[in-house]
Amino acid sequence: MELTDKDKTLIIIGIVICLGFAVLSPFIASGNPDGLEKTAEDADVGEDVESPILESPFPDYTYEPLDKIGEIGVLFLGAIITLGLGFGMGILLKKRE
Amino acid sequence: MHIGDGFIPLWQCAIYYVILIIALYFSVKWAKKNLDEKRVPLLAVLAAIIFAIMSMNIPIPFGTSGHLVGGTLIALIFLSTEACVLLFTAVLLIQALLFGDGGLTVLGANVINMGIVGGFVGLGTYKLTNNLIGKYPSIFIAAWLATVLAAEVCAIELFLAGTFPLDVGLISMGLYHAFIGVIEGILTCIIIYALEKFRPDLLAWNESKSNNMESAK
Repeated sequence: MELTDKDKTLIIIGIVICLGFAVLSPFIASGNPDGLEKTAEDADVGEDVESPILESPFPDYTYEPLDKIGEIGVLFLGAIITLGLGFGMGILLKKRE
Repeated sequence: MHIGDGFIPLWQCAIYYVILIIALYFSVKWAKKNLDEKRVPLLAVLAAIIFAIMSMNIPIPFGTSGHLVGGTLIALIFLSTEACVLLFTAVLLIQALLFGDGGLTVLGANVINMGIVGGFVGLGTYKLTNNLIGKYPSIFIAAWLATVLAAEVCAIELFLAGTFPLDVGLISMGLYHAFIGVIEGILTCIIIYALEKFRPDLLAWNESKSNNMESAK
């Protein structure tokens, strides 16, 4: 598909924003449980109730060997993969003239 | 608001998956009729940004935290709940598969909550209130309400699953997400404001305006 200059700018700005979050989140994102997790605590849901059916490659947005750099890396990687999937989906499903 | 595997019994997960598949069928139909090629980069970039922004948890009262989900944002940009279904299926699938954020068996429920309820309530509320209270107050209320209602739907799902008692679920999810909804409301307003300023052509609601200007020439 044809990308106009405006599109390219949008994509670059999008990537920069994702990079920004990827770099900042591992350091400044709150470690507090989110609303659902806190509700589970309030409801005395046991730790063992959650049982993932597969082992994800980067559980909890971490890549152990690389510590903080790993966290930044996997967030950015995830964003780029999502960008790709979004494009793939859009190109596949878009309006046909 | 990502539910994990194990929180909902498999037979209920299957029902939510059926609902998701039906929603995806309609969303694909919508896309084939309405998704302009010029909006494909926008869809992709928004999916990536929403993925990334979900990592930035902001602390809120009661020792909990929240992050932007973006259902109302997407629904308002595209003026479509269907766009939300597509985008959130993609984002939540990647989060579940690669990062263990949200389960795979419960993907149906998660997309229903964040994408369908989020988008539908957001878009609907905006349409109902925007002529009454103005654009940005309306966007804020829409995003806030979408967040709270999605949270309560989640609480009901988890009650039906036998995981949360109904009262604790509704009260806790409602209370925490009443605060998280404020974050959602503010960020949704800011992002739409930025788009209006720098790329108004990307907002579906400006479409008819630019068409009118074209035909008036």
